[in-house]
Amino acid sequence: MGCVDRTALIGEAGVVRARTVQRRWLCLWTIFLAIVLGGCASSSDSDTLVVFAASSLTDVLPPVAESFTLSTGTEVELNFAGSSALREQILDGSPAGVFVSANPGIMAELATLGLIRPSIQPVATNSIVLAVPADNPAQVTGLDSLTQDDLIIGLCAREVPCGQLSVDVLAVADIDPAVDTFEPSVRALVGKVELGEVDAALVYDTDVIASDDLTAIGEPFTDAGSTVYVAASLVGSGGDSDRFVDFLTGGLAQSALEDAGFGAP
Amino acid sequence: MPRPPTLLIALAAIGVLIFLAPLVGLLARTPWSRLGELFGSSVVLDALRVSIVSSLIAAVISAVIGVPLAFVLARVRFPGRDVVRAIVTLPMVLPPVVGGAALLFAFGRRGVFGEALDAGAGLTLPFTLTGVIMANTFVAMPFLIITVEGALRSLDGRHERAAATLGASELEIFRRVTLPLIAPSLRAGIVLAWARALGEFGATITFAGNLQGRTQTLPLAVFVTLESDRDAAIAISLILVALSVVLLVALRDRWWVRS
Repeated sequence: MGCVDRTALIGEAGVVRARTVQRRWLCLWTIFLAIVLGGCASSSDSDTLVVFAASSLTDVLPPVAESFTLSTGTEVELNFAGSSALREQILDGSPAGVFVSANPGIMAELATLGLIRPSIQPVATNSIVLAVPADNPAQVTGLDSLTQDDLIIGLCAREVPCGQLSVDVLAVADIDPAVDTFEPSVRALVGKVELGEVDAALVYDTDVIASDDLTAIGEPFTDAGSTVYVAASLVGSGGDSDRFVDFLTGGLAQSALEDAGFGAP
Repeated sequence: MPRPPTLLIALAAIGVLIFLAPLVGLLARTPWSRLGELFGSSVVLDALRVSIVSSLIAAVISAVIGVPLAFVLARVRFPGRDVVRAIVTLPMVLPPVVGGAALLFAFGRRGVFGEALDAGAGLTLPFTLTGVIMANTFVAMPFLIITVEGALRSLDGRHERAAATLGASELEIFRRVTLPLIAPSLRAGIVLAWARALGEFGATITFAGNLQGRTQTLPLAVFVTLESDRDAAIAISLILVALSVVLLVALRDRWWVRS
């Protein structure tokens, strides 16, 4: 069997069909393996830039990436997840070009390990706000409401930046909330508030701005600090990575971030 | 027995490697010296309790509802039976997170049915242990139904006809003849459903959320701690692997020896 490439193999499978059943299964297996192995090889395509980004950037980054593609011709593949999950993936050797983290500490750790280039750029900031479903069914009035046992209260898990900042916000306000769920990502939490299943939650200011189904109660909590997004290119990635990091700090990307409610870096 | 073809053996060996490699990876990263301390932590003990309780109850509910359902599917002819069978086995192929979202749309406080439950009976399902059990049952029961229905179909009806001739009522026949005949399959179905419930993740976290001591099961605890404390995540994973291996070995008679 001439295992030249995938299409040649599939073509051969057509010819083999007339032969014995075992032979056909064998071919199908070989094709399956070829596709699996070939798929792995082709994912590190040289003209596609893989960007790992914190899940709170899910709405704002796709248009930014499109403008980058328009101006440079480089395709961008975006992979959103919690910053700590992305950290795990990078530690495990995922072939990313750029990492945009909502946790500068994680970035510093990766820099110490020599996995990212030292020029780490702050890109944006975000603050925590108290969010409720648009019609505020539980009549939440402020952070005090989070202590009510009869309400369904959601927070981000402490493992993600949104959760860490929420812990700080609650500590500053000296509130011990009656939490019903610690969601593993801010997007999961936002979804449950939008559905009306969670009565009140601490999420990002930008999530409330982006959603018609959420209302903020009061102003964002800035006393406890804010989440800082930092971007850096990974060691071993091409020049496109550095260009993308620069692009994020440029005028076009910054105005898109500002429109979405992010603060200036 | 003739010697099997070398090529098949080679492919089979690749198959074994695919399943063995992740296990080796898990064991290689295991912090053996810290295991005792990790097993005793409150996160692990709480998750173990929630997991055991919810998966056992889900397995029992699956049996109580799943056996009659399997009986109807195997023995009663009615229009749309194939559609009903497809619907009750859908969770086997559906991504669990889709199942969880669908449960939320149906039984959430603002869900199609959940709103009435919440207003009428004061019964709130999401973010409760009941919600975990529901998600587990939803995902696990199809495994029991499939197993039991298969067993019921393979009966030739001889013993049941004999019992009927002797004057037993339909329910009596089911309880005293049919059930004992399918007992091995029923046991296998319960164990299978229990094992599936124990490993449930997607539907649970979507429908019931994640709160230590209330809704955080072992798989949820692995997912959350993997990002903060890899050693703890590995310790919890080992518990899951051990429990699953025990359950699968319990199924051995059914799957390997008899066939």
